Amino acid sequence: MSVAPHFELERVFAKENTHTGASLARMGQGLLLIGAIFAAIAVVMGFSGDVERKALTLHALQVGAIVALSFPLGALGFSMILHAVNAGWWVLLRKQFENVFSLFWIGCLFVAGVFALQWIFTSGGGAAAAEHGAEAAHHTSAYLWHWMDPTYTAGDHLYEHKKVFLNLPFFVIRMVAYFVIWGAMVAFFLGQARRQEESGDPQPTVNMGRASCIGLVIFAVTTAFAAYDWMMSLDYHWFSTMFTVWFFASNVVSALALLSLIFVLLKTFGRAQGAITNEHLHDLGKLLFGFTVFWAYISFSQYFLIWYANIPEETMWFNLRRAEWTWLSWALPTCHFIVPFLLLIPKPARRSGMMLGFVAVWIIVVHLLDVFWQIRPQLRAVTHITIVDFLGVLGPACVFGGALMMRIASRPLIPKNDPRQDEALTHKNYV
Amino acid sequence: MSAIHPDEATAIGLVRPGRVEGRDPHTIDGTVTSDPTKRPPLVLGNHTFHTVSETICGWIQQKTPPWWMAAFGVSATVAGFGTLMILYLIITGVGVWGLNNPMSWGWAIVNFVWWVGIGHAGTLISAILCLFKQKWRVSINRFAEAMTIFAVICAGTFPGIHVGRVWMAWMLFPIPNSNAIWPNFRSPLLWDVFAVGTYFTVSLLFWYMGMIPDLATLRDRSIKKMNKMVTVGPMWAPHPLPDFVKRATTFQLPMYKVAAWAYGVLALGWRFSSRHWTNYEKAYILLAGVATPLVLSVHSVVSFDFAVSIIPGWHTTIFPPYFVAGAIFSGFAMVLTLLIPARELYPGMKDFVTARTLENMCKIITVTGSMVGFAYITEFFIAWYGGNPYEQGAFIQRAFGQYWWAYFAMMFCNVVSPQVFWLKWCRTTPWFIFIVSIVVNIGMWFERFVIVSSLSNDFMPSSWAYYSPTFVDMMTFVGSLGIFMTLFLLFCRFLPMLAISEVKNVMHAAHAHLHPHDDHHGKGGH
Amino acid sequence: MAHHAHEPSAPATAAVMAVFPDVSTVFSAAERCRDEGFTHWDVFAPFPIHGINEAMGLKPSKVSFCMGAGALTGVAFALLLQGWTAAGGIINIPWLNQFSGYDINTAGKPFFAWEQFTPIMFELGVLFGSFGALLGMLMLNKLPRHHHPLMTNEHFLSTSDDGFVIAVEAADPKFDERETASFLKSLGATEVEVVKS
Repeated sequence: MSVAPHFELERVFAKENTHTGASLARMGQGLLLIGAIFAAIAVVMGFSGDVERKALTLHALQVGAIVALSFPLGALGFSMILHAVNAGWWVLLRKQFENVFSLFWIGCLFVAGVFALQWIFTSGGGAAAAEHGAEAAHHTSAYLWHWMDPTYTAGDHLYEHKKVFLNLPFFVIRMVAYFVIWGAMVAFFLGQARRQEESGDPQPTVNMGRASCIGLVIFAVTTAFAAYDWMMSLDYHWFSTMFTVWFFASNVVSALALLSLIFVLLKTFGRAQGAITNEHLHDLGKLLFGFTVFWAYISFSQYFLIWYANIPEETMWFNLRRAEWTWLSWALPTCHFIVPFLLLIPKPARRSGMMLGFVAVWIIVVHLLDVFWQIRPQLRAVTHITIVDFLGVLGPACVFGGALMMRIASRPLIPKNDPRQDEALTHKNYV
Repeated sequence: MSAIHPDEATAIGLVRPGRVEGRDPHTIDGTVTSDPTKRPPLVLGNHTFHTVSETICGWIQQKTPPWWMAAFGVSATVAGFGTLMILYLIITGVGVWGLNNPMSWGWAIVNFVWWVGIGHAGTLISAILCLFKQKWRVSINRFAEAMTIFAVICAGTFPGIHVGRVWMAWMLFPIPNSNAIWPNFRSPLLWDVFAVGTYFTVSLLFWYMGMIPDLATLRDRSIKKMNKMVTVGPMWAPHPLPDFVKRATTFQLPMYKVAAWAYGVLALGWRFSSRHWTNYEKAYILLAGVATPLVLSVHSVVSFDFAVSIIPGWHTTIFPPYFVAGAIFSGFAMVLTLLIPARELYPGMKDFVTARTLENMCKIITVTGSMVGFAYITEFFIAWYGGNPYEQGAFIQRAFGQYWWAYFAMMFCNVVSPQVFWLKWCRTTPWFIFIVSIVVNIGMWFERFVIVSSLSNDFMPSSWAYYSPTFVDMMTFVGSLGIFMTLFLLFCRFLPMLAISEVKNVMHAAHAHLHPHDDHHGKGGH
Repeated sequence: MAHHAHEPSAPATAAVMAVFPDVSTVFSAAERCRDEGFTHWDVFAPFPIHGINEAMGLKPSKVSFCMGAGALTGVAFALLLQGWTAAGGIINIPWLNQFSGYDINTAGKPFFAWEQFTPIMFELGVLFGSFGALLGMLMLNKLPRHHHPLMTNEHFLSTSDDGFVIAVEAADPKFDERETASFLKSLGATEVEVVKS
């Protein structure tokens, strides 16, 4: 057949083909430094500013933290799915999935940092707010999680009801639990992958496949509660059963976009030749397209059911966003669904590095806006984008990006000794 | 040519040497392996392209098997009885059902949702698994698509007869009329009309399009048989027959003429041209592409029937994906319920519907069952977390109220029972899979009943009532099973049960310039 | 073509047809036919051979456009239909407005809101798109066509079972009955036949 490419394996696995230049590591260090500086400036501005500025810093940093967390969580979840179904086509792409999800701790640390910062901002702040009365606290207090504010929740019977779940000790226990559980999962997958690379034993592939089946169950439960804790409970009156599905969809979309971008760039710079072909890009493009539609389906269903039933306890969440962030509320369906949908419809777009790379960058940016739209409107005092938003969102995101570049630069780009390597090398889409 | 006989499994390294003798004791026929360096074959036995056509067309062109006649007789009788019940309903009115005031939707909606859910597996297998390049689907897609179409027919019956005045059913559609009265496009029930209507039509198109090449195969086989002259005469007739007798008793068999004509018309003159195949494959993948969101949309729209309302227990945002997962769950169970007996009854079917097919389907059942379980838990948690006393009341009523038995039946059948497939033995033992598949079907029926019966405890305790179905309710449901089986048996008798051209396409011999792993670059053909 | 028809009444040559034993042979033969520069020729096989498009030098299928046109029509039709019948005051089509719907207030919803029209817009988009794909496929393949000269040949019927056939039509500018036949024979055909129309 005209497509049976005879790969010279030595060439595919040659050092110059499987390693990036040292410049990537340097760029990564630079980006990491920029991100750290951004985040630091945001924190300093929070410290030096008034209550409103403090709240702004917390909200902005939380957006950045969730963005930095969404890529690894998406990559972890999706690679577990691929392990569980014994996929063969992607095994040479696996290394980059591992690179992305190994950095889950950055987002977690930022969330913990935001939590600590809130504690610093508000220790003693409760009394100050009490002076102005509960009404003042309603609008500006240096809290991100309002249910942690005793002034705010005073006399709120809904909070009394939810107290069993939404209380500080349990919240901290859960936070630690997510970190430990995800950490254990990541450590397992990285360990198995290393074992296979070193020994060439096919057994780790089996282990990862089996562990993924159980891992996905644990992953579903932990991400669901992480989404409730770190995003949904910011407005603790509001609730939606779809929220966890939305969180999953949004993580997978962003992770696939990031990974598509990585592979497009590797290809552009002539790395991983023969291992990552247009065929793999095509499949990533299709998956990106599919999950964009899935994201739209989930987001629409959540909005639509609440819009249609029109119950105040649910609609308030959307009303806030529609009223105060109207432009963003319209930008999301347009830019997160319609534009990438139309751009990825032609088959050449999903195969060409240029177009796929562009859509990937586009989706990453819009994903950032999506998370922003979920979290940031909770701060009602400031309804426009400020410099703190800019710094606070980009800070954690850049730290993650920089760390990822450093990690990619420090390791071979493709895994060795995978038993399904031949399938990946000869992978082809016929239709 | 293509295939690997089970006994050769060790020889080719399918089963790891040293671990077992001969075949893998954990599987039925050695096609399932956990060795990541090997992919089990899709077609077993020593099949050539010719024997594939022979086997699959043989099921149609053989003499009618006696079991088929018996099964058809029973099904048609039950279907007839169900039709009588429907007639009785139309003549008398919906009062013959057990509906009461708070519970104004009874078994009709439960049956509707149940059947539509079952109807989801066909398109899922054809479309989604096609997009994910799961080649093992070729042995079950035709079968499942047929099941889809018949299930949707059964589903459509229930809202159709529930409207009360059946002769006004045309008002479901936007038909211009002089009163300028149009259907209410803001109603989820009207979206159902469009969603289920579209789903039926597109499934039919997809099914038919997939069948065109196979119908052409049947056409050509019938032509060959038609052209053959058959001489009939008593056994004791002198041999050779005198010429004039021979002329009078030798003729073409008329049934092959009818078959050639019927299959010929339906095959649209398909002549296996590669230029045609190019367009055909593109159209097929495009249909798969739109059918995938369509599957999701149909049960989402069905879930909107409940979720757009403000009834406690019905209005929750996770309903769309949760209903879809449940639909796939029940659909796969129904495919297994039909497939496992068919596999025993049709000679040679096991070569195509291998242990790996069954095992994969079991895994999908466990995945979707767990998704459904996850949704149950989410619903429960958020019902508590939301702090709405009505919502909480609805959930307490569900679990501990008058229909507690339905709730626990649902929990057991849908969440607990599919977990058995974590064990290898359970997912590779056909009779056991068959039992679990029936349990799952029952469970999914109860799930819809649990949701619908939330109505009987509405906002005003004074109007609470207990709903129980009447004989007519029950017999209409049983009748719908009869209609389904009747249609399905007709399909098995007259149309190709397996996609012949697709099966040939996944065989080793279908690949030019073979190289070792050519036939499984699937995303995850496990 | 014309120079092969010896007498007006005799059936004209429609094509030269060669039967090949397996996929690999027919695949490489197809590549040779492509390189030879034939234009009116085809490969017949019981299933779509992977990669045959490139081997035959075929252009990508245009079915997607048929489907896209169908889908867009469906979406637009659904939007107009719903707007026109459920929000008569907003979508007002001259001449047809005597049939347009009443503005009926349902649950306080806006008369014209994209949210409530989305499900049916999606469904009709899929419905029309699917018809576009199927009918487009049939149109591009010029089907249904129940009579084709090749289909009268007994050997040709094997393509619906296990046969692989390459046929070069007489309409091809490079067609020459004898030369084409020997060319196909040289590619590994087990049988070469002339098909009359």
